[in-house]
Amino acid sequence: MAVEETERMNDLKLRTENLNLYYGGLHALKEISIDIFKNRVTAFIGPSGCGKSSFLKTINRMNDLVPIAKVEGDVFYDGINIYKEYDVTELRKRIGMVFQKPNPFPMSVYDNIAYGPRVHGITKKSALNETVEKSLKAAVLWDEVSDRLHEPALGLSGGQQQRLCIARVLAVEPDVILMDEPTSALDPISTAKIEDLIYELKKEYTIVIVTHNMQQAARISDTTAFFLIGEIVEMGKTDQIFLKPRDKRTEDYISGRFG
Amino acid sequence: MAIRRHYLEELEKLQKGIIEMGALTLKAFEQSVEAFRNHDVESARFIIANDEQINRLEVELNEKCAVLIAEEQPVAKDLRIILNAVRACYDLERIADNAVHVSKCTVNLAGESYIEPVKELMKMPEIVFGMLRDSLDVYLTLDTDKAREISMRDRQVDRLYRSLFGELVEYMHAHPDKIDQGLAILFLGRRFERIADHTTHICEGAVYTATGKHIELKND
Repeated sequence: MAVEETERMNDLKLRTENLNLYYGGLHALKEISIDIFKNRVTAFIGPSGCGKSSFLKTINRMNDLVPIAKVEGDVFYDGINIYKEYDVTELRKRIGMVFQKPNPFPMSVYDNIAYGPRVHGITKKSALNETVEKSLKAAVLWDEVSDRLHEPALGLSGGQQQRLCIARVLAVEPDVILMDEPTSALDPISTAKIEDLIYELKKEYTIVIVTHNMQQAARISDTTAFFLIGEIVEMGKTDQIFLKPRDKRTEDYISGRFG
Repeated sequence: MAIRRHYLEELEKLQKGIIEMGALTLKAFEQSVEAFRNHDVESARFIIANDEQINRLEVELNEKCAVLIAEEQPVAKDLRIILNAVRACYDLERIADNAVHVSKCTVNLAGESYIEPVKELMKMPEIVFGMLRDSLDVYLTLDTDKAREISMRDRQVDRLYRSLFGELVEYMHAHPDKIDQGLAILFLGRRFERIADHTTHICEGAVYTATGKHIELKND
């Protein structure tokens, strides 16, 4: 194996092979075989209902919760098949998820962050304090909430709530963060803060993001994949996708001519 | 169903604007050569005054490009079309400026009969007119083969310029009293050669718009 190829394989974080997803009779994902590399932001774009969010959910087995969902094919995380050889709780600790709408628990800021570590058995107050502070700092929220840690999280603004949700994911020390349209409910300033945060977070984590905002994908991602009716039409470096897409369908979609 | 209709209409208007500017530039260039040929000072002055219209168009079209980028955030080929429009505007404006210089030369040489090497000089614009006309077609059609073919004609213009240069040097040695006009003719040759370069540049822009690749046709 060439040195370049070896390095490439060392950077491989997630790999899907012939992944198919069915919701009852609906074939939602068709033969998806892609690689996602560590410390990069990989963005999925495509029209509503194209399968990008469904794909995200197959990566941390969120579709297990949907009774009619059936997954075929393989998803490898660090070379391990997550549908055959991984404990789901451990998997979701390693691969965290941030959703479209901020969904803090109806409890204090502190307890929101401490929730995950407590579930995973950490009870020592000093350890929890340290995790809460570290996570809030990493989510660039500490300065805004350090004096109101014990106030209800639901009292924070939308943008703060979303960064709290990111901090909550960081508190369980994940490796991969999945984000499903994390800024679609936020104003431009909060969006810019989350985008800056994503840029910082990729130094430590691997980020996979679904977004309807193509400029956001262009701004923050290293790799972009274009989904259409359950298939990946094109995946490549973000610069290439937005400057010289190879497929006419990608060009039409990103240029807004899709209809 | 086509969507983003307003955006597509604006993009089309931009392209029409460039072609309109191209047509005005071509006309100015052709008229400036004709005025020179006929010692027609009045027409030359008209071309100099009319250049303002082309300058204004350049500003308007550049502004339109800036607005499209800011408001529509174009990507892929649309983005290349707009970037290329900015570049084509610049080339056309420079060509029009060269037509102004040709016209100024006509004014400066008013009342003088032209020296012999002017015959050699006048071979150049005949080729450059066709290059400019065809490069405007290529701007719209993005025909990369045609773009390459046009750039080959640039070499012919370069050869004519070198030949004119040699002939003028010889002529000025033999006729030192005609050095002023000799230099003016040399500079005119240089103007025609520069216009040919700008048309090649327009062709390179068309190749970039079509393929996303920056190439230098001049050294192709």
